[in-house]
Amino acid sequence: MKQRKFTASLLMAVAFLVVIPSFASVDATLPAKATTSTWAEPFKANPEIKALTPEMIQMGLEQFLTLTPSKYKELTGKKLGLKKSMELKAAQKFLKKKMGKASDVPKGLYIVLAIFGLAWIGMGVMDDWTGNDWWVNLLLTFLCWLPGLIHALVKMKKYYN
Amino acid sequence: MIWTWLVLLLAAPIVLWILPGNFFDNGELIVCPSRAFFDIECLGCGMTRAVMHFHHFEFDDAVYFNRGVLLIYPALVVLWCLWVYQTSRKLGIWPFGKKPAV
Repeated sequence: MKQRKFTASLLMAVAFLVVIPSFASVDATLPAKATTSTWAEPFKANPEIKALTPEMIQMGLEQFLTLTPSKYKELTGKKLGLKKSMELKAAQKFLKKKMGKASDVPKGLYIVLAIFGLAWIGMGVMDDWTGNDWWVNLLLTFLCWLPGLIHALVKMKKYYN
Repeated sequence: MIWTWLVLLLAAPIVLWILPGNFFDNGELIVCPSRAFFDIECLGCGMTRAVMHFHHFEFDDAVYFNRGVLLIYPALVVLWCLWVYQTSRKLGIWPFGKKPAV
């Protein structure tokens, strides 16, 4: 009887020792997986995030925001290339904007810029120097300031609802 | 004075090559008034870092920091060549072409 109890307890101990580490390893990997994929999930449809490589998406958010092409090469051994480098920058800007880290141009400053014929700078900053608004405004500002001011005030609706 | 200027001109690219490519990457000092006052990156923000990386033939990093470097770096090279040419002509040590009249 005693021998049976001993073998039973021995078996339980062995089972315990075998099973617990496997649970522990699952626990150890789960949070890591959860933290790596969460920040990219809500923006999956955005072209800035779509352009990223899988290695970038698997990174932590803080690590991704401070990533540079040379750091990427150190981590993965792969060269990023000119196009991907620009896409990385665009994605970081996009994320910082979404997190509220990079502030857009306040409305008051936009109006002041427009009065001084510099609304194209505000537009460029808010559009990340993409799109046509900023250069059209620059062109109109060169036509004796007033067309540029009118364009800036018309376009204000787009930036400030 | 002109000699000092020429020595500085010739030494500048060599000194920049001796320094590591990421020498300016981790600087905490913000000299751009646009970033300092409004926290908005202007067209020139990141240009120092971009030029430094371009100078070290790290083109990915250069474009990452500021894509305007593709225009600015060649312009800087032309400006440097012009300054070296003009200064050495003034000193009368330009090895090519006619010697300047004294």
